Amino acid sequence: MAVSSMAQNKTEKVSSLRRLLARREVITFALLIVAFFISSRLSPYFLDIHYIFDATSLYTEIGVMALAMTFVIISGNIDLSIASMLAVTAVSFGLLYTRLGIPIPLAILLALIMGAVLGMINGLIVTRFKLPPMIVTVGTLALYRGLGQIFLGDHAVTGFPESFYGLDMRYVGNSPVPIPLVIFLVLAVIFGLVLHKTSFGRMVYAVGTNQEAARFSGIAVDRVKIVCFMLSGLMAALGAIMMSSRLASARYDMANGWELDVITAVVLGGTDIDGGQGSILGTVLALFLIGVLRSGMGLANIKIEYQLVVIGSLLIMSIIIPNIVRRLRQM
Amino acid sequence: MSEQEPLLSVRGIIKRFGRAQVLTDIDLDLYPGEIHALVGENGAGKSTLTKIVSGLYPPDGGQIILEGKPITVPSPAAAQHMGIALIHQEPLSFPDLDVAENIFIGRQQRRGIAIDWAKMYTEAQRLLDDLGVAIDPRRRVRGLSIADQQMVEMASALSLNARMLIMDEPTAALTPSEVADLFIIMRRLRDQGTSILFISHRLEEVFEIADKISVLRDGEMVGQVQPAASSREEIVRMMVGRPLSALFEKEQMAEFGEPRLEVRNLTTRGLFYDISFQVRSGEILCLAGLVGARRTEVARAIFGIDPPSSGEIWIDGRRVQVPNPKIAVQLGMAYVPEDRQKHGLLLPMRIDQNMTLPVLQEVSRLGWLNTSMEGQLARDWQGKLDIRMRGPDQSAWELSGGNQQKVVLSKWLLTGPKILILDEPTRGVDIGAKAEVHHLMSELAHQGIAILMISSELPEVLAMSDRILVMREGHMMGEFSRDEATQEKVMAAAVGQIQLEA
Amino acid sequence: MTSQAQTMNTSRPSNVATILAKFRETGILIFLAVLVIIATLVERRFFSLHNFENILLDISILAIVAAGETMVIISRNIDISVGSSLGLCAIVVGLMFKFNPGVPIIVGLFLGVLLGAVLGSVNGTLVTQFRVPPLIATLGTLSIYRGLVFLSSGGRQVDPNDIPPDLIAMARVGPLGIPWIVIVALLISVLVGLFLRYTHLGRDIYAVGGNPVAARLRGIGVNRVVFLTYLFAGALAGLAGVLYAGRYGTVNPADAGVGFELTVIAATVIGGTNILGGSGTILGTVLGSLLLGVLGNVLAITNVSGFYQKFAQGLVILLAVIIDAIIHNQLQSRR
Repeated sequence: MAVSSMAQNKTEKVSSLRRLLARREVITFALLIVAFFISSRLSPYFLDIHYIFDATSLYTEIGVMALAMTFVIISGNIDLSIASMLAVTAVSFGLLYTRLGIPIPLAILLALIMGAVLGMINGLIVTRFKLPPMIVTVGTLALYRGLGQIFLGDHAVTGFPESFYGLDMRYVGNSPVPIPLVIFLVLAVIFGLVLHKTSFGRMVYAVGTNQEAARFSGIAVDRVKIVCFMLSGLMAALGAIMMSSRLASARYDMANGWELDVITAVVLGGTDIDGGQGSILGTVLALFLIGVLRSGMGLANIKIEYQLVVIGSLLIMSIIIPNIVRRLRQM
Repeated sequence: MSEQEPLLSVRGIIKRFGRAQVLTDIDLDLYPGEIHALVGENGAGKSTLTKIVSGLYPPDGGQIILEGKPITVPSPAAAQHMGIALIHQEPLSFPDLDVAENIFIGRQQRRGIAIDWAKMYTEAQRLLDDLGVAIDPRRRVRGLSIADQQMVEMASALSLNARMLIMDEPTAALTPSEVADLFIIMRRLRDQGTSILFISHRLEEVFEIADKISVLRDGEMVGQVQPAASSREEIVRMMVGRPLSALFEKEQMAEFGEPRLEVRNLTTRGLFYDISFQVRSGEILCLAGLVGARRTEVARAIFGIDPPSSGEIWIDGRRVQVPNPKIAVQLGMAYVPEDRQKHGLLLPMRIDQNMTLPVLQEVSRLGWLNTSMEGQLARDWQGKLDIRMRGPDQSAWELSGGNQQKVVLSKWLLTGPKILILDEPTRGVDIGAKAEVHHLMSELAHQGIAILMISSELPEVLAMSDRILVMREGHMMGEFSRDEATQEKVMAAAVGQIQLEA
Repeated sequence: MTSQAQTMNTSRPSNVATILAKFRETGILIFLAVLVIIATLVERRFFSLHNFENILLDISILAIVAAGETMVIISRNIDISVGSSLGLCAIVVGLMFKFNPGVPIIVGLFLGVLLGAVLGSVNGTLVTQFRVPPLIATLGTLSIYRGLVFLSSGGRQVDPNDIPPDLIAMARVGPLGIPWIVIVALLISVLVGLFLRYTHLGRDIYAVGGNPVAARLRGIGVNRVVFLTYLFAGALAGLAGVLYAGRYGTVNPADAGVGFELTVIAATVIGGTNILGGSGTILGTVLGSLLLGVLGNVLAITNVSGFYQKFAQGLVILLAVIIDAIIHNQLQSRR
């Protein structure tokens, strides 16, 4: 009896190891290691800890948006308007402060609320009219950025107080860790816990897996979707604040095209574009992967053009490789 | 009928799926000008056989012989070219294309290189006229009833000069009047020399329309009879291998409790009208009828999935509104849906995660999930319902039909419902699990739960119900108590021969 | 025959769906007419030949690309890389002319179409052979092609001097005073429209988008059809790229075609093509392009701040799909 239970324990350990390795995030992690290695080869400056930390600051805005986008995509939707929400909330935030004289903390709060409301509008249109999220958010992508344009035209809002800007230059105490990175990591932990450990997160997965069955099981499907869209808007607003601080200005064309970077990060991290599968860990790893690659290439003076090609190819590879692996395993 | 060569024969057909042998050594002859019914329980292999003949699957052994010559059927398109056409239970149509194009897609008439629409419409009209159906070939398929879509599929088959029509449960989604129309057309086609292979679960229909009946059981051909020389009992015996009466019966209860669920004048325009009934604690009320009677729609209205346009729902003597399933659960209702794979389960998710979906707030504290509790719940119910599963972390799609149904039942039973709605609870479930489910239902009733059951299987209806409410095309047709109900009475009401007494 | 009367009972009337389609096209035309009237009242300059020519030139490029995108969307897919493809073909052909000044423009046009077809084939292969979801595949190629635009140009622009005068002339002159670019756009629209209506492959595109499972069972080569729609979309984007160089006289790698795919998809969807596949017409897409073009022009010329452009675009898209949805839901519930 003892022998067979030992054998059983061993097979259990082997199978749980195998299951760990089969997780999608492993591929992203492997790519991250490779990217790290390549980047350090490309330039000796890469391994400087200060540089690494500073470089990550640039991607924290995309990062916080990607956290929310992970929720949206897992729930079976997509939000192409996220970068536009960033722009219009940034512009509004700037105007609230400079034109209406609203103190910065209150303006931040109002901007965050605005983001949530814009996200809620997305959610309401999708659920109330049962429209495909892709086309609705293509519409709001134009609508919201257009709104930013109407508010501010071609100008930039400047004149933020010194206490506000330069967030990316602020560090935790005396360490080289920049504050935006801390914000991102804290949020990543929160989002991760909510997605994987709470009932709401379970509902998000359920809605993305089989919306009808989820509804039949008593889950408020529409409400779950709307909350995910609101999170997207909220994080866009947060990104707007962070970006305005970093650039010390706000314009309607901020973050132009960033929705694609955000989606790339989420999909690269293993989230299934059709919903029902994915993880925050994957998204975080993918963000680091993109960050490492971009900054590594930047350091090596590789032109932005090549970077675009690399990121685009990476995205496609991240889908093709698991497909091929699966097909090989079946043979 | 004179001695003639069969149009299509199969000899020694074998089919395996993985390690399961689904068909063993099947021989069958299909003659022109004949309606040949294929019957058997769920899982007997009827669909698999038709899929092999129509080119969807290749056989693992045996031969298909068309007009004396052995053939291979590599694809459905190839089968069509050989004159073998499959009419699907749920028609495969292109909703935004018009009827004529649905008939001719892929081979539309041409003049030169351009499609000749006028010719296509004329041809389509001719085919539809030949069938005797009044469908406008220029209209879009979207909006056509299932019966009409089947007609379009048949027109398509005829346009390919199909000599053999295979119809897989064509009447499952039809109203009785549509079935009658379908049979007229089938008889006409038969008289014109077409060979028709017809799968059905409904023995009454089979006896009405078939010239021959072949019975499959567990992947083997049990025998072939002529309807006139046989009886339903004999067929059932061949299908099941045991007499009809060996079905579990609900234990009688001394008395029932208070009415738990009451509906009054429930109506949704276009679906069902004026439905009123009550279910008492400890009672099993069955909504009986043929498919298309709109019983599921009533259940969905009560459970809040598609709230009714008018009428009242009362629970425990209080009038309630049920705008969505979440409220329904809070009110103590549970609904085990008809389509367990589409609506009952989230197949890719784990068994324990499936089970706790309606009660997430119970297995979490302030939102934080207690996953060990979930796993324990799953193990508890594995024991209670004897579910054959590897563990709580197994994916639901790996389970067999019967075990999947048990998971769905567990999911709903653990909400502690006062009212349980079961929609075709034993469909697609093997005989052994069927008995277990019935036993469970009886126990639950004894515990005081009010059960509303929807079933299309008469033996199940009669064995398990305390009262039977028959519906037809959205209307209540009759009510019978356990003692006074017989299969004939229920069926008569289901096809519309009795009016509800006041 | 008694069967006749009874079969009709459970089916819903057909005419509503067709009426809806016509309704949409008329709706767009009415909206256009209203726009034109208001615009002319506010600003006389609007109703001039010169202005109309401008509008037509703008929408010609849009209509050509949108014709390709329409085919992709009808087949239940999407292509968001068309803007980058346009840019890449514009710059490559532009550079080709720059370093080979004597080459006839027909060669340039041909090269553009060919290159575009290759770019489209990559998309098609990713989607059909490698099973990459269309949104991801074209998102990836959007980046890759845009990167290639920069790489090819080496950061430099293509100037008006580099572009053959014949090509630039295509935006100015043409038969009956209608610029050649517009003629080309018209021809393409008509050809694609005829293709979709009167050829087997064209109808197969609808079938694949309407019910891919049924299409396969009926013997339609689904992969082949999808691959070809991407190839066509790429080829048309390539053609539009070359014409773009002629129209604007300059190709700025950071600008050419950036964000264009969204306008293209908007034109398609406003024109009545269902984003979920299975239905749509080139006529609708042309009307959608016309609507977007006129709207943009009206906003600019009536001195409404040009900054209302994007907002108006977004609003029109949302209104179009929401109204569609409302009417659809009405149809579903009415029995």
